[in-house]
Amino acid sequence: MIGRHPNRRQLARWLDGDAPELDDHIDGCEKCAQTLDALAAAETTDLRPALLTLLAPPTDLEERVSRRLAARLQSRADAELFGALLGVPIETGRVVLEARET
Amino acid sequence: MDTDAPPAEQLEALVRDHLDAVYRVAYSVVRDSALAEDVAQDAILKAWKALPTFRGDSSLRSWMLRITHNTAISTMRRRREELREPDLLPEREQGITTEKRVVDSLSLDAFEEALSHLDELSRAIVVLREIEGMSYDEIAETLDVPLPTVKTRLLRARRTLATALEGWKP
Repeated sequence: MIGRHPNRRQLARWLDGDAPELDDHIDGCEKCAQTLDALAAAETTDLRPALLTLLAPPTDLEERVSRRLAARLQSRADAELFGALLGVPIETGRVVLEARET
Repeated sequence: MDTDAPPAEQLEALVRDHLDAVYRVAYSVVRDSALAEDVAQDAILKAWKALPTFRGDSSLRSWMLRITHNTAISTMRRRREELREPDLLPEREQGITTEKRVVDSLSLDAFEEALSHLDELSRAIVVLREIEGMSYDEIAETLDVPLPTVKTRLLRARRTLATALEGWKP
């Protein structure tokens, strides 16, 4: 780590986003991370409920993703079978199959 | 079906056990639900195909979320190259779910705004720590960043988000 460590006041400013010039130093400095830990010890806000609300997956996500994955695997299986029958690589089989469907 | 591919049951298990976390990490990077769903699907498929190479050096969850984060970052890079116009990148979602509407408030809007203004790495760190409950070490390993980076980004992100959340109650 190059340069002097910022003092607590500078670290407090950095926590508030007001000292971007310290980014490079702080990003890799274990000592500053420990000091910041102490500065932020009083911070006890529970962010989890708000995060869970904002990042909630759609209720039908599992069903949709499962269906789309199954379709992709089936398409690959068809292309492999077709390619094997024709004696060509899977990608060729896929292209031929897609051309037949359109 | 590819004869070298792992059994389909393992794919179902990955979806069942990890899809929600995978989606949240994807969303934290791409900030668009349709794109996050695409990323989640790709990441799970990649993880399933790579399962035979998983050595167990980390937890399966860490490994999967690392694949997810990398997939999301690659997707965003591709989109940036395609668009070549940062203003066209996904912004906050306009389509709000019923669940979100119920708890909607000015404070939650402010929180969402604050979350969207964090950098991608900080958002991912917040999600892995606050929702997935990972340790600092696990997060550093999952995102392939130094431990101090995890700690300092999390501290600053927490302060920013906590300020934005003042007054909101779930």
